[in-house]
Amino acid sequence: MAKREGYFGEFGGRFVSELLIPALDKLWEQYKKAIKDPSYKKEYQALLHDYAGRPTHLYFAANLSAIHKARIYLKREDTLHTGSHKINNTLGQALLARRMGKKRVIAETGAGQHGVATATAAAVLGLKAHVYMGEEDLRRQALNGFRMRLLGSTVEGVGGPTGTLRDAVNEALRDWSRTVDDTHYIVGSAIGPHPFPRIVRDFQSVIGKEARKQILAKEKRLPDMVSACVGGGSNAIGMFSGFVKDNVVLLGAEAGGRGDNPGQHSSSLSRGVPGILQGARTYLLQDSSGIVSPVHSVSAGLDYPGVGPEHAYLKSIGRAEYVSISDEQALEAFRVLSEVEGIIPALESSHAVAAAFDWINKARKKGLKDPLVIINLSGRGDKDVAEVQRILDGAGNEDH
Amino acid sequence: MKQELTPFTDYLLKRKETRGYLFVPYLALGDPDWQSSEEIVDLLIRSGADTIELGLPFSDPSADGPVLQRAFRRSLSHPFSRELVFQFLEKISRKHPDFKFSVMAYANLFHAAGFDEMLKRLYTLNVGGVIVPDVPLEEAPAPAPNRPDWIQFITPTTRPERLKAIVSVARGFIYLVSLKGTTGQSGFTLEPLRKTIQTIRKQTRVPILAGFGIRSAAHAQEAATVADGFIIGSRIHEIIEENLSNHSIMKQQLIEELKGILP
Repeated sequence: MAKREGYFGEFGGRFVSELLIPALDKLWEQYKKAIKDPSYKKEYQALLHDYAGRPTHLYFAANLSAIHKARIYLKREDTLHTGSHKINNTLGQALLARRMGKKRVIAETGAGQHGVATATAAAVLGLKAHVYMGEEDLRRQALNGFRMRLLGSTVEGVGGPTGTLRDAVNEALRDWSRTVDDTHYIVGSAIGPHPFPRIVRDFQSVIGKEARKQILAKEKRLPDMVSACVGGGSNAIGMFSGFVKDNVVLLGAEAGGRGDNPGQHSSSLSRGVPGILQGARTYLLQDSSGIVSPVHSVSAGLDYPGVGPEHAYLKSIGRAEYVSISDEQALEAFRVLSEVEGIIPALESSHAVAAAFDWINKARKKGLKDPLVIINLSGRGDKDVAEVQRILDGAGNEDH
Repeated sequence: MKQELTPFTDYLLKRKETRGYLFVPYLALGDPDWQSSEEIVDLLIRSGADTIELGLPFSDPSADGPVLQRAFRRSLSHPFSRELVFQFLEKISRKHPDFKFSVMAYANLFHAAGFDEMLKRLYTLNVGGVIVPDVPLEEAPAPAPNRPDWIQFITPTTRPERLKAIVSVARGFIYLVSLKGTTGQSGFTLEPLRKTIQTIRKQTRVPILAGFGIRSAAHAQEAATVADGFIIGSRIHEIIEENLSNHSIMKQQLIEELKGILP
């Protein structure tokens, strides 16, 4: 197949209003220039190093490894400034926004991590920020809403009582079509119209690059598998990009939620079919007429009916595996990692941990001795503690 | 420049001769229910609509403002399927055999059906043009015979080179987005777009219809004079929304509102 710009195989593209096309053209042009510009690179690298705290460690989780009879490493994106990998992308894009002469940035956020990372980047680079967040997510992640305001951003709840990440993306797209002259939309995941999936992947590819170098230094060999959680899929594509050319299993963990029925999960790749949403052709959860389904996950960051188009491509060519991890499995992984390693992971990342456990178990049964794996710990769990307490107290899972 | 016109363009140009402008109401199907949609279609045709932009409800209408988002939410609060849309179109096209309809839908509804399958089917149901707000020039399917015209958009951000490319493939009508933003926004004026309109006119006879934010007689007058006509959507659904408890008042209000707006 001829390679079309902005496509990963048959996935991706630019399915947005004609209004936004010039802004996307300009962004792509400016991005290509920026990454060749030594002064841009230097400034970005300095921010990643001195401000965000890169490189992050690759930690050998000895206790977990002993339990699972494997060699398990954790890529500690959770130790970054603002608590997740999102800062890798927001610093890069905020710098781009400033280069393009934009005074204001907007963002969508699910769990609030991308919102906080956007507010942070905007604060340090002197930009105004406005963040859209689903109302249900604002309830689950109230503290992150407050955090963004502390950082000088404005936050707007959207989508009514069931509002989640997809509603926030829709609202951000609407805002952008009004304000495109002076505003840059910092898309938070590897989703949306070209060039966003590409730009976000590139900014997150630092995860995979570092992890590859680190594992080679520590183990003198590549891992058997790397795992990461997939909502939109930015931390996963960042991790995968470091290993995609190697003989390494790429394992994406989607939110299996409470069950298989529509509305109970958000496993777009495992249970969806191709469609077009929010700028890209990708796997979607939808009915047979094309109406996008409601979704659920215990973690607000995975609660999304679509997925980044590059993941759709990696699935379609069989290069990556995607599995569905239930709320219950994720909560169990959350507990285990906290108790055994003293690390409270984000609920999103807990899905990657649970998926890795399953994979190790199966791989060992097939005869693989001491599987060597890297789990991307994309974020820390401080934000989730109150919600997990609520669930463990039995306030339950039934009301959202 | 001699230009081959499609049957739908031809239909619109002929209709334009009677009043000097084209009037295109937008109706989100199923708001508040299918029966009302059918009655409103009849009413709009009686009120002088030249084509009707029938909006198929979608869960994530990212180009629409709050009024049309709520309209879709009401539509989707009862069962919806592609088959129901086809049944509806069959009914109204039988009732109005000489009238050409237009269909607006977000890309995923076309994708789910298969773009060409959907186009073929719509063509058999008196649909002259399709409007897909999240498919820009590059992603549009190539024109083919026995398919409705694929309507192109020109917006305040469209630059000259791109404008030329869009106009060269324009069929049916050109949807001129009057402002940067979403449907139903305030502050309508075509003043900043006068030059754009002149440029389009030099290149094509395909009529230019202004949309986004037209809600008064003054707006309609301006669009009828500066462009070839206008699309009204949000105002119609405001009236529907205000009269959900009494459908006969709703219809009466719609008739009166349109009488007041049309030049």
